[in-house]
Amino acid sequence: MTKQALIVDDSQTMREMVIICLETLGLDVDEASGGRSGLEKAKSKQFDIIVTDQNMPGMDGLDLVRSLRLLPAYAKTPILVLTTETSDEMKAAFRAAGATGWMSKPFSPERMTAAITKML
Amino acid sequence: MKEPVLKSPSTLPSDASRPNLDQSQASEIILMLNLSMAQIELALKDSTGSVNELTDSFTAISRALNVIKEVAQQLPSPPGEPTAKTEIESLLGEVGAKIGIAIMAFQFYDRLSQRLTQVSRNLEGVGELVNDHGRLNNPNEWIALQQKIRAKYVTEEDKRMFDMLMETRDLQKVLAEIVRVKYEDHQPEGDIELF
Repeated sequence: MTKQALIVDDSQTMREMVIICLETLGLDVDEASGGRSGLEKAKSKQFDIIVTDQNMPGMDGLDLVRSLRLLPAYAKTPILVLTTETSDEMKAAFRAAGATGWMSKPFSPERMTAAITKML
Repeated sequence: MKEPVLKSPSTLPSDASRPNLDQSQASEIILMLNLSMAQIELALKDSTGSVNELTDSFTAISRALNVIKEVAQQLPSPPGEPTAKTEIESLLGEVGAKIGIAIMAFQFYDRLSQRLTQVSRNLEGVGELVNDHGRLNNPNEWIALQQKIRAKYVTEEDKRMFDMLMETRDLQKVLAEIVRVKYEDHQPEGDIELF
């Protein structure tokens, strides 16, 4: 069965770039433009992997990860954080919140697909 | 109520603790700030529409290539002979590499628009402060604004640029140093860490 992925980012350009990478891996990709709409999508459909930005209006990526980990259906789902943030504090906060991986923007498609393959 | 004493990220030689503007200078500064903000907003609006169209087209091309790849895999490939299949697969490899380069380039546009949005908000913050006579002559307000601007930066590069500029006030020197470090250090793109 085709794996389902969700990309959460307030930038349409970034969402499209991630979608291109994930589709080359044969994944079905859904998208959300913010943490809150991403959480709603995750509640209405089970995803096999979630890629999220940090800085978004409303609910940010860190709150999204925390909220997802409170849902039994997403207790172990891989979550990759894709962000321009570079601080070690933020990275540690995501690790503590239960994120599976961290990738800085701009990402290279090869590294992105390799990471997703490893996480699935 | 006694106002808190805030420490500037770099108190000297920034003059944040010694504001010295009269009302006519303040009005002119606000005018110039508004002009700059208007230019940034219009540039972002114009370019975002075009880039979104470009992104949509690029995504459609990428999807079409995935379909071509699947179709090519079904073509016959007699052993020992150059075939249409091998030719197509070779071309797909070349196009795939170009797509990878374009994906990186698109992300730099995204970063540019984020930075310009941030610049516009910073200018707005300066304009609001200059427009308020009470705040204008309060050193703590200037220092608080500087700290607020710095806190919004998400990359170490931006934070370093801010600190260096506050310290040296020499724009060209700061830019030269940031560019030098950027290209000499050659940080790997898409740095990844699995927890």
